[in-house]
Amino acid sequence: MIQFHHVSKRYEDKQKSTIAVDRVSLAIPEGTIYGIIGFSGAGKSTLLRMINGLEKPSEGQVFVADQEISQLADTQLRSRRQKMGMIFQHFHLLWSRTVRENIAFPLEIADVDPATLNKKVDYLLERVGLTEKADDYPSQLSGGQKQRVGIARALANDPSVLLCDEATSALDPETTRSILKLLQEINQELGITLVIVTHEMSVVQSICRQMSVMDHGKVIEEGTVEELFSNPKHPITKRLVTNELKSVDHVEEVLSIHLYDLRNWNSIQQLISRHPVHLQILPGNLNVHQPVISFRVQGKSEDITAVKSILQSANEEGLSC
Amino acid sequence: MLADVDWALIGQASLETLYMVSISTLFAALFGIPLGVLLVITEKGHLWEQPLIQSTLSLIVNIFRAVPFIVLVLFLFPVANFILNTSLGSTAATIPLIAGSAPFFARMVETAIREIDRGVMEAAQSMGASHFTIIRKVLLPEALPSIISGLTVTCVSLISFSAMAGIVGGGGLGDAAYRFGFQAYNDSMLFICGIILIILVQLVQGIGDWMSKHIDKR
Ligand SMILES: Nc1ncnc2c1ncn2[C@@H]1O[C@H](COP(=O)(O)OP(=O)(O)OP(=O)(O)O)[C@@H](O)[C@H]1O
Ligand SMILES: [Mg+2]
Repeated sequence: MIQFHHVSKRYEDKQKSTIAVDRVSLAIPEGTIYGIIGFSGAGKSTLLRMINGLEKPSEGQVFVADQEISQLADTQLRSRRQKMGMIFQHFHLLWSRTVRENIAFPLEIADVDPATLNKKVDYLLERVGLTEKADDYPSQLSGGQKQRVGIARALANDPSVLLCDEATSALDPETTRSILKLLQEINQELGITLVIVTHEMSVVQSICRQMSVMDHGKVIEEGTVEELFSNPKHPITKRLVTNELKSVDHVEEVLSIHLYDLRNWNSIQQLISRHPVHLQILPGNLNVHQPVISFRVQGKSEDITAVKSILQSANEEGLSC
Repeated sequence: MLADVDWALIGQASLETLYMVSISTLFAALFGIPLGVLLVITEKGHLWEQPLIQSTLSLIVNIFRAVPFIVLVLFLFPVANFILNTSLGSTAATIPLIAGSAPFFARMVETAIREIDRGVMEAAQSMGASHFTIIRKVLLPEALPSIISGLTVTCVSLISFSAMAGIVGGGGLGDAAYRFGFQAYNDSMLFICGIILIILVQLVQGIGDWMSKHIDKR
């Protein structure tokens, strides 16, 4: 269990003080996959970094398994950190070390004996599917492979918590999916608690169970992922959810159809239903002089184009009869 | 014309130069690397924030860099001669050479370390690495190619500085060129000394470049 009790983090500068995290209280249950989402500058990374003590709270307390992280002495904190893995958007691998040596690094830090170390590294290489790349340098790897090394490295000392700071934000959608799948497997197989910071709703949607939404240092909404997706309350959450619907290759367009054509509605609907689009009838556009009905259509642009041509030919037919 | 060249003298002078340059390069590295590391880690927001130590070290380094090398030589050579109480001028000459080059090299080490992505250091911290481990296993290895390039530049400038130090009593090729070439109106002697110095510089630069490139896995 990871707990935040009224945690604030202030950055004092000569001129001004920024409040990066503002009186946050949260409880992240053991073994879950927890998402923290918000726009840039919301304070997500700062919150995450307080879990392993990379940042100290200005006020409040952070507990990991009933141990107050913010009160640990340096040496205690260091040994505690060995049981918390962390992965990063830009991987942060040591380019002077091979893949194998990179994964061995946290084990060296933990003073693991060479025989155990080698065995462990072999296992981790296998687990993340990089056995073939063991002796390559990070510069020879793709982004997805680099993140796999990052994950293997983070798992080396059998952590109970894995902190992910925008771990997929530098990757393409395909690679993102494979990394998320790997993270999910790790959570299931090893029971590790995953805390995932991201600004991409799709990441939260695909693997998180619970989530919280941050804005201006505050947690503005929290709950299960289903709850927040089906019934977002705060305007920011709504924005994040709708952004997601429009994400990547999805576009939205408003199309209309003349009332006359509704005589053929059944056949039109049949034609449209072949394309995976989301139709929503917009109310209030009906008037006697311009009897049209408007729809909001959401989907891939090619499907929308198809729907558009279906409606167009229906219009023309309507005029000809 | 080459008949005028005293090869035994050239050999002796070459050895003196090699001796001065290698000893002072070694000590420039020995002092420069820790100094460079300290300059980085004591700054604000780094591993070991110590504003007072940072500004003091920085000032000392800048003073040594501001003083023209010839002044260092003139000032430090007699002092070194006195302290070391040595009959070997070459040994005494290494003192101003080290004093002149170590601060330069420290700045190069500082820059090399500062070029490392801060995130890499943070990753090591997140694994529970101690400061010492971070310096030994992250900062130095990651900066090594740049540190080696810096040491190459330092070594090359030490070759030319050693020629200067030689003239005031350190011996070596610079001294030989000056006394037995220039002052004795023996152009071939001057010429040969120059050639050997050029070869030396080329050699050092070549080896340095090769090493730096060889270990650079970026
Ligand atoms: N070391 C620091 N010094 C001063 N201000 C900081 C520091 N770190 C973060 N901040 C400020 O704190 C706020 C929150 O930053 P944080 O990095 O936690 O946001 P984030 O939600 O992770 O954003 P992003 O999605 O861009 O990574 C920002 O306004 C940022 O400018
Ligand atoms: Mg961030």
